[in-house]
Amino acid sequence: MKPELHSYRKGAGGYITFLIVMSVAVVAFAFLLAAYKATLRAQETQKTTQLRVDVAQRESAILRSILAVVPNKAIQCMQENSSLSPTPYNWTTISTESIALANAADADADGVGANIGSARLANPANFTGSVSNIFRGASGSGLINAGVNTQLSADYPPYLTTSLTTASLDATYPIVAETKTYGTNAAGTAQLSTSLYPIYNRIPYPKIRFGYSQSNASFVAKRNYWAFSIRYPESVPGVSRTRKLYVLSLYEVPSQVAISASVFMSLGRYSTGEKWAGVQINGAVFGERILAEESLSLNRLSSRAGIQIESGAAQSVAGTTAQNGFDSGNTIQSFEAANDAMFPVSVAGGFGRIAFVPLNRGLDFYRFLNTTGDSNRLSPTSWNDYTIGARRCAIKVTVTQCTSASNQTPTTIVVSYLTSSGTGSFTLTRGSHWPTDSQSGGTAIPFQTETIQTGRRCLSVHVDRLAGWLTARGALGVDSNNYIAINPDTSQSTVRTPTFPSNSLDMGITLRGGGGLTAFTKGFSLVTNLRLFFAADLNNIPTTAPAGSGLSGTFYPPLSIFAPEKRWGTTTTPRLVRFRGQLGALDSGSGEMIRPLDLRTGGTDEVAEDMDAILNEITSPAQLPPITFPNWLLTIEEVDTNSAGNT
Amino acid sequence: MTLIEVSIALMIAMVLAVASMAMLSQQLSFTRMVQNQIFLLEDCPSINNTLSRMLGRVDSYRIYPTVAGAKAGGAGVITGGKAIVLSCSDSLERVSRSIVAAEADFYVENGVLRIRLTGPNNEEITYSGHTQS
Repeated sequence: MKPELHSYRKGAGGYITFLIVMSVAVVAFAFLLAAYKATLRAQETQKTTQLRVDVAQRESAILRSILAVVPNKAIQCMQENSSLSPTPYNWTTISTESIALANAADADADGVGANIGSARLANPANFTGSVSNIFRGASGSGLINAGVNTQLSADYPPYLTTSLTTASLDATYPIVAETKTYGTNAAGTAQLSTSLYPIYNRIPYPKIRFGYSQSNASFVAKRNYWAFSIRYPESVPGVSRTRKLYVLSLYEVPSQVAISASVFMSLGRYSTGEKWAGVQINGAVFGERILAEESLSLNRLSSRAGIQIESGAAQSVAGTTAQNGFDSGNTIQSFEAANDAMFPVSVAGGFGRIAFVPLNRGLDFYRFLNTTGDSNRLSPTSWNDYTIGARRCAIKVTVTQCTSASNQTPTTIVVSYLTSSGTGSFTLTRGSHWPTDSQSGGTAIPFQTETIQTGRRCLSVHVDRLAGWLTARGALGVDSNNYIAINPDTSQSTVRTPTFPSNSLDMGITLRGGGGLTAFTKGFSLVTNLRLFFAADLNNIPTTAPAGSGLSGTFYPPLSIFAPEKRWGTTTTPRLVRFRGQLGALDSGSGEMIRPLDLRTGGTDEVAEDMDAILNEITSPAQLPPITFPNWLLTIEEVDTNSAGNT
Repeated sequence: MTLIEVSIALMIAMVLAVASMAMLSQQLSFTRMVQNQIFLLEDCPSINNTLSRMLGRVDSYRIYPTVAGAKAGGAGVITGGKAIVLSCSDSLERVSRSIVAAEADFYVENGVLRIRLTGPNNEEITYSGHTQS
């Protein structure tokens, strides 16, 4: 008989199965929830982190943009008609342009997102508001605080003193002016007397990796600064941020290194291919771009755009060796790990918050005639006066007439000079008020004419006659009339326009009687756009260093000679060239590589290889001649209001 | 209910039980994996944020093999570092120095500072950074 199975319970079956499935589902769901929660938390962390990094990078980009925008605006403030429509130069415009240049306001400036349709904005750090919400002064309601006339707090550099008018302008525009000077408040930071050296003083070099000067050391400069705070953007949802204080510094740096060139420069060889001999470099070398062709021993090597060291031309720099590719690999870091110092070879373009700007006017540097106007400026100092050496000179000599277009012997020159009441001038005309050296009274006049051995007609400058002649003219002495510019007036039919390179028919300048310059207590400078011949020894009589200069030992009065072409000697007989000081090169506009020690002889125009040159750095403002080549160094540093620092 | 039906019901129950156990095991594995990744998912972004912002504000750094070495100063290293001294200068050229020490390897590779962190499950992450100037 077949057994029958009976259910113990009435109703539908499968409850246990249902219970098991439900229990498992609940457990699985709980795990899913936990995982989902963890994922959400991780995403929130990553989002916040990404936002913070994004915001920090945008802020950093804006700071770097400020360094690019401000020098241009400061230059424009010094140029003609800037005061007629000044809005493009004020700090509001600078801030706006800096944000735009940094491309920081909109992460999708190209509008890619617009093509997606109803895209959801994922960039809460984008910004469309007023710049005043981002930029604010360190105190007060303005966008910026200029470091003039008022000390913001002990955490800021010492202010510069200036007139109320300039101070007011400086709060609205980036003003660079000679009327902003160091006062007694800067004592300490300015290491020399500010009454003796109110414009350029010896001050600490900023702790940057660009080695125009040595980090932890001092250099000769003037520091303008503006203080501001930034928080970009003003607020970001979910990210709490603080407003950070910064100081934008613009150092006015007169050229002071042993060799400087605002052009592509080669080091180590003459153009003949021979290696430099008899040359000692006790200091730094700076160039727009540098090609080192031979091994040299230097203190520092710096460039604005790049340094190339040829194979086998390793440079011995401050006791270390720099070879090509020094800035790749671990060379710099190995040096800095072993030494508490920055690597002595540096390129300004490789760093973030630094800008080095040589104010290079090229051949215009030598001309005071036919320059552009400079009225209606915001800055009290004109751009032309600031950057054109010839325009700054106290004595200006204009050659207005020559014998003929083919004989450039000057027959009439006009000499203007400083007097106690302003300026005076005197016209020297052959046969009238200008006796030759062989005529009565001729040897008392500092300007004469000569034809050198090569046949070139020259205006000769007798430096030793200048003081007596100025006194006879009722002019100020050589304490004030100590820098001379000489230009030919090429609007006159008998005066040739000087060419570069110089044509043999062009007029030349010979420099004589300058062996002893001790009477020039504030130095001597000569600027000309003609070929210049050193016809005699120059500045080879030492004197005592000025009191308060911070110098001791042998001291020669500061001297600078600016000419597009310089020749050593006037005869065809080769001579030893003995030189002490600094060498520099301006941009001639040719774009060619220059060789700074190609010192050519006057007679044969060949490179002098018989040389005894010791190139030094300027370490005191007392060594600055009246005319120098200007540079700007810009930095942005954070203000630390909480720390007095460890060192 | 026949024997065949009972057998089928038991088989289905067993299949369900095995499937449930498999799902549970998978969920546990998934949760464990998430937990193992917590260092990379949550800790690392925060560390990255801290390091990148800190390095972006310093002027220079120096790596030392020990914290004691970092405190003592002197010559540093470029590999095998366990502590790093960060130097910041302010607008008055005052220098503040800070020591960062962690269970991490500090070293320099191709001129770039690298910081390699190892998590609790031997997961590794390497940060690269550069100073501001």
